[in-house]
Amino acid sequence: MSQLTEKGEATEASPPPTSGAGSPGGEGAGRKAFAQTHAASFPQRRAALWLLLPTIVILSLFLYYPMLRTFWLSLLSVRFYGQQRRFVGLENFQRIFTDPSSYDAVVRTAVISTIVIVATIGIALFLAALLNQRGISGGRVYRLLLIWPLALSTAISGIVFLTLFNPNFGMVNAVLAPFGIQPEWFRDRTLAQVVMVLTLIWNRVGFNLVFYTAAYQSLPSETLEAALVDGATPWQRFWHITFPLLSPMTLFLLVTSTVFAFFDAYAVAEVFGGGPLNATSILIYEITENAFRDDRIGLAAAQSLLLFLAVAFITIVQLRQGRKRVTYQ
Amino acid sequence: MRPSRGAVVGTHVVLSIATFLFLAPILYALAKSTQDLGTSVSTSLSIGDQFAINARAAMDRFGLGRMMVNTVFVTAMVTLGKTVLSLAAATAFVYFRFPMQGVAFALVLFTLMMPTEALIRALYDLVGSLGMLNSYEGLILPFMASATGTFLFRQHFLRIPRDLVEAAQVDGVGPFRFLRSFLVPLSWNIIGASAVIDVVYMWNMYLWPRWAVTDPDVMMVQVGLVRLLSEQQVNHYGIIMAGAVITMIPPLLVFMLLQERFTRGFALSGDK
Repeated sequence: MSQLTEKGEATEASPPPTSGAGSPGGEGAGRKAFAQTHAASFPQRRAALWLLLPTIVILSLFLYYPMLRTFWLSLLSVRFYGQQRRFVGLENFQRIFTDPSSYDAVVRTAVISTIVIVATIGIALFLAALLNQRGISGGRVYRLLLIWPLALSTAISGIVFLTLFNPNFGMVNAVLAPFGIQPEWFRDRTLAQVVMVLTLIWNRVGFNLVFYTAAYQSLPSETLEAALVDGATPWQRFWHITFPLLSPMTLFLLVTSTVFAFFDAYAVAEVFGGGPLNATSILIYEITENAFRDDRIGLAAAQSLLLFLAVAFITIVQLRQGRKRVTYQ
Repeated sequence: MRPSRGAVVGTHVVLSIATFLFLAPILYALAKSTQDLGTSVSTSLSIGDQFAINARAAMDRFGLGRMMVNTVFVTAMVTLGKTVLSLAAATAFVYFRFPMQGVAFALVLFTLMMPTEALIRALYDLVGSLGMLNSYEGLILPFMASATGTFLFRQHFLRIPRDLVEAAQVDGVGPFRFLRSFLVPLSWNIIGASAVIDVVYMWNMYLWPRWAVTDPDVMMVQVGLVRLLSEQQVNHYGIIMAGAVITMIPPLLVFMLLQERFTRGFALSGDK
């Protein structure tokens, strides 16, 4: 034990350098970290088991087991509410892209999610940059007001927006009335999608803003000051210094925003009833309809795995980037 | 070097407009929540005097009060459970060496990309076969473990000097007391930060409680409010909006209490 300690202290006692911005998910799988950091440790292995066991049991039971089961279901055709099961191989995956209504849902989900992800990250970054400029007072007040929508559950945000855009008594049409425009927001497919996207962006920007604010606080002030001395314009400073330093946080938010746009958006889709004409019926809404109402459990499982693969892909990209992270100091 | 006066004014203008746009829907909900039935389905933005009556109707007559209690309870239990379990798991990963440690860590880390919602039907069948549909357990247990929390605490522990654990061992402090008396007091900022994430997560949760619970006695408030609207039990928007406004209170309290810790927690985890 003591040898290990001495060696650990001498070589790798300090944690690996990070780029400065907080990156909750960006540290990478930490293969190296294990070798380096287990210098001094407790010898009681049984205690480690007790500390770890609850986490492992819950993750295995409530995540890994359903995951495996979803894989299995995706290979089946389950009909008559479980009465008839037939192995169909990859047919369900084929159906995702050949069945016109499912294919449309994939395209819809891709478009709506991309807009939501880019907008929530972009707007949050823009606001964080403004709030963290030198000489801007009242930052805390703005921030507290800006994150207020985060206190509303996504489903309840959907209700508020449904009311705001109500063609009869909503405030939006009241504001538009003098201009002679009275859109029927929930009768037109595109307009309904616009309202859905606005709801999701409005509900989520605060979350990303909170994280960007935290990341801003940990930016290395020396680097920023050096750039000031060099006479870089604010625009150059942002794109060449701040933005790269914030990139671990941006990658982390990319993952959480993707999960939000894919899954949490379900709440808004349900409040809007998936309509009109399926316009707001994104994949996760299709999945639950297939799984619980339309007796298409196999197809639902395959669609679930498609979403899962997309999230996994983005997460892996994030972790890889996190490991490659550059030190700027 | 300070920015010019014009730049400062411009920034404030942009920030004020953004703040107004983000607040407008909430101000609208607040105004509506004070109106009587007739006014609530008009375009009027006047402030009425019906808030207490609407709030009481939402809470008592339509059962949202009970559901608020359910939501607060479930959120508190999950937040507490996640914090305790991920502190424990992170301690096991950082302060012990045991066989298959890397595998166990990968197993935990991998769940970062496994959203429960994607497994909805399989999870529903499992929880059903455990007899936990329509129960608090069914809303709490599946979410007790946290890859994010374990990861954050592990990162934090790795930055605590190793002398501490040596000194503790010299003094004969065992691992559980080390966790309780040394690691927890050193981790309040991270605990605060992860608690904020957990509260937002639980408050936003919809898909799972929507399908796992049909009994109003166990139902979470966000599900109950959508049901009120979609089943057209209520066409008084004052009551709906009063319910919406009341659901904002607990998370707002958490934000105000924990905002500083949150920011510091993540600033710290950024290794500064």
